[in-house]
Formats: sequence, structure tokens, C-alpha cells
Amino acid sequence: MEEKDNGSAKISTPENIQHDQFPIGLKVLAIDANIVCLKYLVQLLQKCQYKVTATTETTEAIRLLNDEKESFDIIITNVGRNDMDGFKILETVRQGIDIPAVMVSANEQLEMVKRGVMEGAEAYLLKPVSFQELRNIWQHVLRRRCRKRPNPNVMEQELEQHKPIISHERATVIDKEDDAIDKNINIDSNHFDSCSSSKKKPRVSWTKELHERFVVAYEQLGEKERVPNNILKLMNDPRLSRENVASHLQKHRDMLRKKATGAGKLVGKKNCYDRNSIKASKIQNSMNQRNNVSTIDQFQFSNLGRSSMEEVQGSKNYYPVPEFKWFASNNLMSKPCDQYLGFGPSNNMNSKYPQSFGNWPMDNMGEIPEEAGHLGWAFPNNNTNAGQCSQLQLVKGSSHVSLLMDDELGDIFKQFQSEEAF
Amino acid sequence: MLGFGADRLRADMNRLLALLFHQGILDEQFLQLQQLQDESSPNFVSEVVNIYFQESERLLKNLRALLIERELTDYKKMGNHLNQLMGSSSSIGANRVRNVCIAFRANSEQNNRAGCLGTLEVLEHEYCYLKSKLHELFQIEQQRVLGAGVRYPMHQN
Repeated sequence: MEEKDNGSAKISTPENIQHDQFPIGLKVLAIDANIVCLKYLVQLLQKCQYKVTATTETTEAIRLLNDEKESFDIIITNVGRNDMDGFKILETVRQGIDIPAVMVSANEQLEMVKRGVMEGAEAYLLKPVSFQELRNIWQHVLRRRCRKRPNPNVMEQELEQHKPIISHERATVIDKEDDAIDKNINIDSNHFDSCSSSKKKPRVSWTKELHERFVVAYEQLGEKERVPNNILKLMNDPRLSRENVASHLQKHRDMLRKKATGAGKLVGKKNCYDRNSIKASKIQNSMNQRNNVSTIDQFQFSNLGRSSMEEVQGSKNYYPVPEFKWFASNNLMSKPCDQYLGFGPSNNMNSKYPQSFGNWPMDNMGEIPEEAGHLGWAFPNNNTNAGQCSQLQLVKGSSHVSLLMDDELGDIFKQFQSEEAF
Repeated sequence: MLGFGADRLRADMNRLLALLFHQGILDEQFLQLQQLQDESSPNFVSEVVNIYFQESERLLKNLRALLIERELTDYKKMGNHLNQLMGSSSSIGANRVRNVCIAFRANSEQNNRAGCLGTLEVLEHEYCYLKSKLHELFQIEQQRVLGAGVRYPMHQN
């Protein structure tokens, strides 16, 4: 959808700014090195009807963030005890990409939480994340948008009444110093640009060079004149909008303030993000042996005990974005199931280890193999699953929705489910 | 009589689930997983659990390999594996496995090799048990779902 310029009264906004639709279709970037947790998170987000892009690799995530063609409304990233990648993401966000970031962690230590919040996380959620908590993350997005411009409903009304926008009040102001000077003239259609992360405007990334020009312009101006408009004029760069400069100015000022007060903690921590530690975590990742998870052969267990040490070192779990967007599909049609409903009979008869659920004889319950210590699966691999099922075929089943529910339990959960209905 | 089978299966499943909850093998998180399963992702639980099995087996293998190493046991790497295992276990509601991981991690933080070996045994044992129980659960579910393939208008379960 295109945005019309300030001349027209009607603005057709991109899908996730439409106030009746929002927050449906919210664009989320989810990052977690742990594939199980990521899969769970993605499912939660899809349940909220958000549009999810997910990856286990921080580098991929940063690439996506900086990629001009992608745009996200919010980031959810995991941070671990020994894995500081999540903070790296926060830093990337702080440096230019102005979207809210939510942290997720299994680590509930106060220090970590504090650090997360101080470094700009909107929220710090503990694993496992609950649906209730995740449902509310859109509030962070909305809050941030409202900070940049006044109440969008008010804005739309004004636009319908007046053709050019002559002036506008800013509800809560990021650039307080500028306000006094900037209030007057602003035929500012840019204020929609500033928050619309889904508008197809090339994202400005503050390269070193650009930043240096900014600093030059900043220092040229006297204290009272350091307002975004002036800096913008001095820099004279067509890519920049006033808003870009404004937010960068804010960050610059914060940084200077911190330098001045010599905030020890934060400055010290910034050193974490230097080249060496990025390298270290990369090595760690690859040594952590990320197997590629194939969605089709899900019932093939790895041959336990047979593989040598060499197999322990695997390749990174790298999900190139197009493939992984399988997760991102938002339609409610049932996905083509390579595996049929549930799970099927064994695929591989050769291995002595059980290969699928279907072959699980009922009478084998509770037997723990003696060699459990060496992960030897002594469960026999018999093929007679047919016998168990055949008598029970001709039955009407209940809907998939209430899975495993007894009537009494079902009532409780039905209530829960109906509350969730959008 | 035809509807009898489905009821029985569902009862079996609930009984098994109740037992698992009672024993602390699974916790409420598993229920969350089930609730996330719907028409648009009808196999979500089994998918996640499968991935969990793959990951866990890999991690357990790594842990054992790390501990067998007499020369220089890399406790830090062990800690990382354990965090992974803990995180994934808590995400699917594998309560007991997670608790054993916590104990294991305490041992590894104290560089207690003997303690680690002991907890590794327990961990593997717990994991095996969990896996067998989940298999059982899924098998009942499979039967139920297969049985639901033929629908009779009168039985509204």
C-alpha cells in the first residue's frame, strides 16, 4: 500500500498501522540459539497472528535488521548465561534501528535483568514464555510509535480537515531541547515516515563516515543551535530525514553524557562487543554442533552410540531466511503434512534402535533399559503396530481442538480457549 | 459400541497424562504446548518434541564425551550444553529432566567430576523414561487420530 503525501486527506496506511487490524500482522524477528525454544516461541507468535521471521543465528539476525528490504516492528531475542549475543542485538538496535526489543531468558538473575533493561530492552521475560505475556508485546510497539508522534487517531482527523499540516503538538517529546525551536513550521509528512517501519524507505544506517559528518556538523553548531533541522542542513545528505537526525542526536547526547559521568558499568560492558568476543561466540556456536533439523524425517533418531567424536562437531544451525519463512506463513490453512496425522510407522528397519513412535508396542511401557547410561535403547523394534490399531478404526473422533481432554478437563480448557479467540 | 474405542483412548491418554503430571515428569508447560496445537498446525506437539529429542540426544552425547575426557574436563562447555538442555526441557515442560540439569550444573560449577558423572547417569535415565512415556502418549494419540478418520454423524464427542 502506498502512502500518499500530505496533500491528500486520506491516508492509506500499511497494514500494521491500520488501527482496526493492529496488532495483527505485527512483524516480529525472533532469535534464540536453542531450536526447541525458538520453535515454541514461533508457535506462540503465530498464535497471536503475527508475522514471524526466526533464526538461531545472531549474525543472521543482525544482517536482517540492517537489511533495507526487511523491516520489523519488534525483536524478541534470547539471552543466555554464557551467551551474550542477545546484548549484541540490543546494541544494534540502540545504534540505529529504532524498534522495541524484548529479551527472553532462562536466567532470572537480577543482574542480568537489570542489565537488559538498562541496555534498552523494553521487557525481560523469563522462559518458558507464556502466551499471556507474549500477547501484550504489541504494546511496546504502540507506545514507541506514540512517543514519536501524537495520538494517531487525532492525527488522522486533523489530516482530513486540513490539507497541509501546519503545526502539531508533540505529546511526549523525545527531543525536548528542540521542541521550543521546532514547534513552528513543519509541513511534516515525515512524522508518519518516522514510525512506519513498514514503509519502504531505505533505512539509514549510521556508518562511521556518516556519523563523523554528523559529529562535524554537531560541533560546528553552538549549543543552542544543535537542533535536528540545522544539523540536517549542514550535513546536506539527501538520504537523511529530520527524524533520523533527531534520533541520532538523542543517542549522541546520551553517549556524551555517559562519557562525561564516566558511567563505569555500561562503558565497561560495551567492550564485550568488540571483535574478539564476537569471534569467540562464533567459535562456540560452531562447536556446539548445530544439526540441521529436517522437517520431513523427523522420526529418524540419530544413531546413538555409533557416531564418533568427529560427528560431535557439526555445522552451524543456519536457517537462511527464505526457508525459514515457512514458519512465517500466516495463513490458517493447514500446512501440507509430509508426515501424516501424528506419526507413522517406522521408516528405517535396519537400525536396532527404535525409529518412530508407531512401532511402540504398548506392553513395553516402563521398561528402562539397563544400558540407559550409554544411551542404548533396548526397546525392540517390532513392526506390528497394525495389530493395535485395526480394531479401533471405525470411530468418529472429536475435533482436533481439544486434544487429550477429558470432559471435566475439557470444560476448564474450553473456557481458556474461548478467551483466546480473536 | 463404535464410539467406545475413542472414549477409551482418550481416557487412557488422560490417565497417562495425569500420571506423568503427578510424577512430576511433565508440568503445565506441556499443556501450553497442547493448546498451541490447532487446525493450522495439527502436529505441533509431536514436531516440537521430536526436535527436543534430537537436540537432547546430541547434548547428552556431548556431555558424556566431555566427561569421559580425563585430561581436561571442560566444565564451561558442559555448562553451556546444560543450559541448552535446561532451556529446551523447560520449554516443553520436561520438569524432571530440567531439575536434574540444575543439579548437574551445580556439580559442574564446582568442577566436581564424580558428581557430574553421577548426575549424568541420572539425567540419561530420566531422559529415557521421559522419552518412553511420551512415545506412549503419542501412540495413543495416533490411534485416536486414525480412528477419527471415519466419522459417524451420531457420535459428537
